[in-house]
Amino acid sequence: MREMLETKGVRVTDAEWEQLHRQWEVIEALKNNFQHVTLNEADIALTYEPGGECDEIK
Amino acid sequence: MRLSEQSLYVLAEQIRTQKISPVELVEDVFQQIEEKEQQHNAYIDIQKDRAIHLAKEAEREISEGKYRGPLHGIPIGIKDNIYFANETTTMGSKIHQHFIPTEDATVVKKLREAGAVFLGKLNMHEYAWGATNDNPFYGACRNPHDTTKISGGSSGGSGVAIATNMAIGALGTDTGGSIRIPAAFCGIFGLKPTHGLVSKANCFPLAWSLDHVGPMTKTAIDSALMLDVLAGYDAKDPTSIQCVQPASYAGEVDISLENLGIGVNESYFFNQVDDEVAKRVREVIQLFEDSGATIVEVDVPALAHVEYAEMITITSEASAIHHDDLIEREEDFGEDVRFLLKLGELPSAVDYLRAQQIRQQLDIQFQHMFQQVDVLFTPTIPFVAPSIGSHTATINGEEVSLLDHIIRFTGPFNLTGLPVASVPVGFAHDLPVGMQIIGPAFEDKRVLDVARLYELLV
Repeated sequence: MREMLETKGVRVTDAEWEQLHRQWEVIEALKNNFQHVTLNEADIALTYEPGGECDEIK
Repeated sequence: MRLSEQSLYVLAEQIRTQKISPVELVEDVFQQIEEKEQQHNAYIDIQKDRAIHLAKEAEREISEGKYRGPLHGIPIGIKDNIYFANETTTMGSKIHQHFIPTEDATVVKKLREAGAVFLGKLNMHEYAWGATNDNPFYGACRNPHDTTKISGGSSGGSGVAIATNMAIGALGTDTGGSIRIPAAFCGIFGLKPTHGLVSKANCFPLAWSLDHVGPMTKTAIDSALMLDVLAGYDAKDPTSIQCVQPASYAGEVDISLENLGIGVNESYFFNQVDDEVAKRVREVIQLFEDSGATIVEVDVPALAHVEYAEMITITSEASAIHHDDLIEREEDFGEDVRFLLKLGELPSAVDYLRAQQIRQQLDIQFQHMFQQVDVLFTPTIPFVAPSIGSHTATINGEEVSLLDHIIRFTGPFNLTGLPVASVPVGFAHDLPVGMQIIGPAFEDKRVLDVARLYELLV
């Protein structure tokens, strides 16, 4: 992950990496076993509306 | 009682009937600013000449019978990530310290048309990306009840200004709790409206899908009067929603205690909460029950994963916004914001999309919950305001990470976009405690009405 950041151009000192890694582990732990929840095909409900006029069906 | 100590609702009526002049009101507010600003640091920029000019304009118009409504002549402070045309808007940052937008935010335009008297721009956490309002460039906002404690953020200046009568109404923004957290820590009322109800156009984003703009005031009806002006569809905001609205959010309360069902969720919203904070909230729940409301224990299983979804969503979106500056000039960010922006570069696209799946499940489960109850009550924050400069907060004598706990209870309602008020419900450890009243989407009036009922009960 540190290499990935640096490939993107994000500079990370050793001290920063230690903090980031620790915080990332906290976030990962918040997943709270959601792999046991069926998420696979659950909808994300984010929609994209193309611009332009649309006559709404009333 | 000084003019500036009164509520927007009371002052509006006095202005409308010309018992007081907007000029004498704004002068009293500026007297408060002179007395208290140095101690509390609520403002980034104070515009006294412009405010007096606007107050005189309001006075003249009202005397000519051109009354614009309850906000006419009312002194309002604006968080400094909300654009004023041709005036510096800093976002509480060094990078944007000289930024001058060319257009008003839609909410500013609406307040202008309503005759509000703009006092200046309020202090905030840098780029709204934090909840302490300990700003490395403009100084920390200091809590009105104990100046060694944080005001909360990111709308800390707004919270402090209202609590100290340095403004009669204020605008804040809320992405993970940034209206409700300072409202709770400062002991005032704050409303995060339903997502899409109030335009975000020309407000600098923290996280597009989580951002909200809302009022911060002394009382619920004050915020209702502001929402009457602020709410409404705006084609400039792609998240703005067209919906049927009540004639007035400040209209007659149309919910009764006997018919009110209040949801309480123990497993998430009363887990890891300071006992004294929990006690204040439970006292309010009991008060409602004693007055005729029905209390229902509710379950929302997706709350088990909500902190993950909130952190992935907010960090990713914020880092996308600031990506270029993080690469090119990271030293110009404050240390805490720089850390969070680097953290937000870590989640993958799959992480982000799985967070959106959890979000959708949460939304469905809350919709189902609101078939059983009218509103949900929760503590706003699990603890009272910590010390300025601290990275921890105290829960029952134990120190916990501030970052890991401060948006635990507020964040779920940014993910779902539901309307939430934070109401002051007393004190714990000599500092204010806030309680959230949450309603179904677009039932902002219901939330405000329940808050007004609470204010009548106490």
